[in-house]
Amino acid sequence: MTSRSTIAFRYMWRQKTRTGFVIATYAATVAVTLLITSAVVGEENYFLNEVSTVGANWIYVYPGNGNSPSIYPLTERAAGDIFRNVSHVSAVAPVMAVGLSVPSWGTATSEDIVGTNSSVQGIFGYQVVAGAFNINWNGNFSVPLPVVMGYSEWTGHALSVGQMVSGSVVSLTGTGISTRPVNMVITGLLAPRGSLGGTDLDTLMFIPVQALENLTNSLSLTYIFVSASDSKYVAQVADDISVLLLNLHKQYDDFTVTSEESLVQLVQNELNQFTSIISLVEFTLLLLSAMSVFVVMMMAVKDRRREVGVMRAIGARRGDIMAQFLLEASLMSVGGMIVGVGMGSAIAGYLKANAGGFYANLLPNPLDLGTYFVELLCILFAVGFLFSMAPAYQASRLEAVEALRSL
Amino acid sequence: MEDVPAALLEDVTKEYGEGANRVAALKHVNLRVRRGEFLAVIGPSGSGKSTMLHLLGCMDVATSGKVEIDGHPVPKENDSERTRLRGEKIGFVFQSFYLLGDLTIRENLELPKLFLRRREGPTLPSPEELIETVNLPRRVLDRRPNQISGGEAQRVAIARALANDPTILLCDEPTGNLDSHNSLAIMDVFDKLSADGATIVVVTHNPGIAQHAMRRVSMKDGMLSDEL
Repeated sequence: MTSRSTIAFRYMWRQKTRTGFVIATYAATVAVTLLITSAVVGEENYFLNEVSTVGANWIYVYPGNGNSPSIYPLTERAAGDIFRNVSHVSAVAPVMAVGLSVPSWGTATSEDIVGTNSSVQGIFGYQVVAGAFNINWNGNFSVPLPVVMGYSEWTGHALSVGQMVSGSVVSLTGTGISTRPVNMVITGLLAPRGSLGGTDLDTLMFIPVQALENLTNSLSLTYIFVSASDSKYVAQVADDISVLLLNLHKQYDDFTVTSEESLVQLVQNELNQFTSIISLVEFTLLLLSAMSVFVVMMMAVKDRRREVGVMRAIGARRGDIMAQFLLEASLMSVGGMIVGVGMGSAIAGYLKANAGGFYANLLPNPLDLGTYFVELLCILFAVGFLFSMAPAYQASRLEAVEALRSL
Repeated sequence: MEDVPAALLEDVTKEYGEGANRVAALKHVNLRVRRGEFLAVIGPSGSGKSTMLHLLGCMDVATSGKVEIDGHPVPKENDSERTRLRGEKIGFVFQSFYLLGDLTIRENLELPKLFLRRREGPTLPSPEELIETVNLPRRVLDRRPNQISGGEAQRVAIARALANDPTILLCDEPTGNLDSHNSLAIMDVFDKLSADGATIVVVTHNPGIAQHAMRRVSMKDGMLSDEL
């Protein structure tokens, strides 16, 4: 039995170029939107996951605040004072981070060298896949420095796990560091952590903070991480740290104390800002898709006056004509969306598998985007439907006699 | 029921345009088409034949006067009701066939049913029955309109016009685009349908075609004149 869909498919097949144009526009819109959203949501998920693995009770201190630069540096002494004098603190990790080159394995690699103590493992919940997280040091450079390394793609290619933890000695050089090579022994290897915001989180090396202070000739820490003994003490610990540091800094409020919750909020605010920018891109693409369906349907109405006239002559109501055109527009947009979902997923999957870095956190499965994915398709469909209303209405207003006479 | 005409025009006038540009295509036309009648309307181009056919087919509305199809007045304002009447009571055959090129012959013949929405009443003829009615082999059902000849296409168009089991078959120059051989074949179909009791109105300027009709009327300058 002939149905509206039969007529629709036959017409769409005859007008392959136009049909293809609408499908391609919709597919591009869906694919690009999925890719962008997959990246943003992937990053957010990764960040939240990272935060959740750290534990819920940490406080993060760094020099300077939004209004004034740092006058007094954060030092290891301040970290020690926090540990000793602030109640309900379970661990403190001073962190001095510098980017240096590790050339010993033939090809130099840029590593984030983190001077800290072994408490950092507990605070951040680092998983060790080989050896142990042990960077205890006696302050004597004549024996190799104990270091713990992240297992990045590069280090994974350069050395086997066995080689890395069986006493390999590497040397450390870099701008602002002593010219003498520093011998190190790898005591532990971290589980791979992927990337965040395009940064490889595994190109890092933990060394004793005193050693890095010595090598850089600086006492200025990058951060102090503090873990409260219970989540209910986080706010109190943060306040007490502020009081303590104000005393140490002669009442200069030149530092920032923030907690996990604040950091999550900060990152989410930044993501929201980013999301509003990509929303503009998505809106533009959406408009293009809608215009494509509008233009193609207007052309269809112009081309099919005779067909409409014949249908009206043999009993089609205005509603039948309108339904026919809306059906065709809907089929094209749905077709485009299906192709777009396939393309977006395939590209995201390919990038995730092959490109690494920023793309490692992509979510190739659109279902992972949850309601956003459904909302996107619904909005796209609704906009296409809305933009095809005018051509469909125009077709439905054609009088049979006029439509047949106009030929 | 016997007294109810298949179609009726009473003092029907149809005008186009506004003000000084107003032109009367039909002037006070009266016509009664009886059931089972084969009526030919003859006249030169521009005489108003097609306009009258469009009014009978509920495709246009009269400026004044009354139009009835199978006893139902054709409403002037209600397009939906006119369309319903057209779908249920009228079968149209056009000079240029107007088959939908994207569809097969079978699908073209099924098209009127798509719009009919009839839930009860007699079963409508199948494409196979329709195609046999117009003396075509069943194998054409799976072809496209561009794969058959003009004569065959017009017979398919007649078959499509019969698909809704219409009260009246309206034909606008049905042989106008055909050679004499195919014209005769078409008229054979009309003769057969007429013999089976169909009500047919054919407008033509070909007197030879009109000879097949039971009754012939002529039209000139928008007025029906003599019974021929």
